[in-house]
Amino acid sequence: MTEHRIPEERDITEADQELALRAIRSTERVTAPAPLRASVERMAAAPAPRVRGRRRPVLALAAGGAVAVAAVVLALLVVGAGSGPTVADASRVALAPPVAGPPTPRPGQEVLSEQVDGVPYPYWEDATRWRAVGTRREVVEGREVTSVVYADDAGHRVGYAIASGDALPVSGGRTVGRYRVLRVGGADVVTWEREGRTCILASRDVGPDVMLRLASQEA
Amino acid sequence: MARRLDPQALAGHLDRIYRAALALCNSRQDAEDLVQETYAKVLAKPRRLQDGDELGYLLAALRNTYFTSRRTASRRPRADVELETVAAADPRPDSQPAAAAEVDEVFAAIASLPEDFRLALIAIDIVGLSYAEAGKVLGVPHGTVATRVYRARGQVARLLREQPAPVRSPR
Repeated sequence: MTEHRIPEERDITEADQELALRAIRSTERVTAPAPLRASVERMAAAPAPRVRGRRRPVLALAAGGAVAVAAVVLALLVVGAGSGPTVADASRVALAPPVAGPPTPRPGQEVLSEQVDGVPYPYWEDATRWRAVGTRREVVEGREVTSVVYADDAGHRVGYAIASGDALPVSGGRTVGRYRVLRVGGADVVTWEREGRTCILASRDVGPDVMLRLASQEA
Repeated sequence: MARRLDPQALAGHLDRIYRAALALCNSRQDAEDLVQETYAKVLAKPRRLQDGDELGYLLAALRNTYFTSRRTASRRPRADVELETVAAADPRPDSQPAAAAEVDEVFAAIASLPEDFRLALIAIDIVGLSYAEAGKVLGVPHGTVATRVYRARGQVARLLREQPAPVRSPR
């Protein structure tokens, strides 16, 4: 429907007002879809996460002085010296809701503009109807994990996380070809490596069969 | 006095915020994404409410997220799913196709309004804010809100009169 010129007040009747109000009230029967409701209720029930990652040093630098700078540097060194996250740790980023908009497709390529260490996220919309709907970045035990969330027409969601740096350790689960399939916190997780980087597909909406099909779309 | 935003109260406004998103986007998929992203942003960290209530805060967040995502969307190719089946997609057994068609027309009419008029009508008639609350959210005097809502309703009425009567399914 195209945009129309709005009538002036003098041209509007009380009957117009009543008709519009009746029609607008009829929309009150529309309620949020169940998957959206479940997602919002999960977010509302979970405690708000602490601010993590790159923002914390920035805030400390702004608020402190030389002492704060030294403390941040020390903290980063200590975190960096830890053993690092596992696939299960990083999969929580893939399962979390996006906090930023989706990356754009690269023209003429089956990949999106988002990438980690040169490993791009796939563009699936044409081939599978799964489209990117948002992104999220977190630092998990000193390692940056970036997730692109994809959704299908039914509202199901799958998070695709890639961890920067060397491949993450994985334990448990079963092996399906080049993929590892496991359960983390009630969610299904599929993990594998691309160019030495750990990739993770995780979802509470679809099973590992769907995620294996999606993962196999990549060359 | 400032107080902390109540996550449960935010979740309790989901249906109204979803309808507001439908009126903004006129697309079920886009509305779901918009609501999801809005709640994710608002609930990402503890927030304090200076005045008003959670509903006004949510509507302001929805509007800001909508404008941000619209700018992003304008830079990427996509196939919009028009809002042809809002209620038909509703799994409830009492869904009525004719009523769904009427609801679709109403959302389409609202979505076609110029931005200022659309936001005023959504704040008052869809979300249910007072004129004063809507004025705060939209950053205009409440008298301006009232005028915009009055004219927006007039336009919605005209658009609905122009629509052919929906085909009613035999029951």
